[in-house]
Amino acid sequence: MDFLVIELAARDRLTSGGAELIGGAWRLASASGGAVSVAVLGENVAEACRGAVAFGAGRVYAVESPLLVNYDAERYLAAAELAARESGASAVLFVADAFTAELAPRLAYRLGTGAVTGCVSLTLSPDGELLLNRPVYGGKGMAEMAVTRLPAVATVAPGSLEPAQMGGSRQVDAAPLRLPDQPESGEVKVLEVRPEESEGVRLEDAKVVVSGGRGLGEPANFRYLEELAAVLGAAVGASRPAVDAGWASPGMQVGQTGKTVSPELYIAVGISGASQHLAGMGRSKHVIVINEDPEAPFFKVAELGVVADYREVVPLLTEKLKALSH
Amino acid sequence: MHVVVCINHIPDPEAPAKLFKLDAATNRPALLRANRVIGPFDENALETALQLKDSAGAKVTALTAGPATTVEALRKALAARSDGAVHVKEDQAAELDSAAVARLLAAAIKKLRDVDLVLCGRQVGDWDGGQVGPLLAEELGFACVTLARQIEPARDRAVRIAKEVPGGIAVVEASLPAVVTVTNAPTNQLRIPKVKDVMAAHRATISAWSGAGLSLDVSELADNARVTVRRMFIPDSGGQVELIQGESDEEVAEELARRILAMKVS
Repeated sequence: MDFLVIELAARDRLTSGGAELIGGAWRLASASGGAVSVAVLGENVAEACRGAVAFGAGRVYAVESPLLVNYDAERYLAAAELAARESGASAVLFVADAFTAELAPRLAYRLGTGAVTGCVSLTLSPDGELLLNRPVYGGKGMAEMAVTRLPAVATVAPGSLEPAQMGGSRQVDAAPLRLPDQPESGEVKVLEVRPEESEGVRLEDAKVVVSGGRGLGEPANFRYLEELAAVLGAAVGASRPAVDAGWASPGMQVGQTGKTVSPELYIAVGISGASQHLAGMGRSKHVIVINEDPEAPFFKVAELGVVADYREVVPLLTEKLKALSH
Repeated sequence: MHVVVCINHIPDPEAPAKLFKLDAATNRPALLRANRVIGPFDENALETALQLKDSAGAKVTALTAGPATTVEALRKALAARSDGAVHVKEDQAAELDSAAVARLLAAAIKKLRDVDLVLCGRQVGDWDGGQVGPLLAEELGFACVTLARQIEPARDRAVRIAKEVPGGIAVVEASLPAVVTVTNAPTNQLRIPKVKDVMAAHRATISAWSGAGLSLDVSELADNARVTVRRMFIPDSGGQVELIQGESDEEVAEELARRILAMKVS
């Protein structure tokens, strides 16, 4: 089975998610006698194309155009469709994010096929059918899905697949594909893009994340978490109910519809542990849960738990960490 | 401005995991004891529409496709003061793939004729695919904007939207007609209806349409699914937590601090 990984080169180099997709696709392609191609779409794609080769792509398509800026969905769709048709692959994969969530279904529509979003693993059935596996009902169930037409289009959650190993030494030249000049449709004009305001460590990069939920009781109590985070060099996250209540900014939301984090240590304070939240932090290495309610479902997935009033325990923990690490 | 909000009636996503079972015969979820609610992001979309009604005099129509019981979701939308409701009554709707649901809803929206803006939740809280909105835009040939936190009317038949993009926020202007999917924000939590509006919603007549009435054969749509479920299972819920206990909070905090430092994570 032939795969096409579509990489959006927003940051001028191959993303870790892209390397994971190449790795996942390569394992399935080798098992089924197929190949892996990578298409890099963006304003400047050279560096990401080199990265794709280094991670073992058999063929690389470069769709480079000054039109591919600012998350202009129509133009990225045209570029993705061009690459998908050119490659003739049976499966087209994207890294799941806020942009590809829109691109994947629309691309599938234009290719006359179907898409599966938010996959966490890809497998081959005994008779060689590609199975796209994803959590449903907030992670309470898992579904193995198949697309009945070709190509299958899928988005895969970052952190789900083992990345490819670096070290492709072969010489592969990127094949340029020319994006036709499109008159601006004017349907959706991007006026401004601004990075999410975040103080301190970025959630996605943090080795330690301290998150709070509605169990904190009031918004001002996030300060307890900020003090703890400062000692640990951690980022502060929040559950969706805490964001909905206006206690934390939307950029802090961890969960299926917020950020996906996989830190070394995740400390959850006053979060019940709805499966939607767990879907965003399930790959954390160590999990500590502090909650007054011993029945909170979060304890089921924790390594260490404390059943206590966090207002007492968290400030003491901050103090002890300060004292012990000196 | 005529705003159509697509809503879904789903088992409460907050229901405890132990209520989630698979029906052995069909290998599909059996959630008989969970309450049914409007999808949480559909609520955000509905509130956004109602705010456009308040600020710009928009007419709001709630639309859903599903079995007879789905009408409860429409009554809630009416209680929150939507102007009208349309029920595409199809028992099979829940088994259709996103492409087929989009075809069904697009046919209903075309029949409503004068629609300027279609709002959907960013994803329904059951299967969370998030595909129906973008597919509706393709079906209808409307402009498409996803993950909106806020929508305001703009000049010249357009709306201004603050939306999520990877790593940040974009402000875009979309010409109407458009399909916009809505994500949660502190400003779009669904209002609490007034008692008299709840009572009026219970008496309201709700238009019931069908696939056939929209010239679509729903069982054919089901048979020609583009995406299909091969198997479902319930994942393991994980291991055993070790509870840290002590004579005092101080002792607990000290032990926890030692254990964190032993993890050597920072």
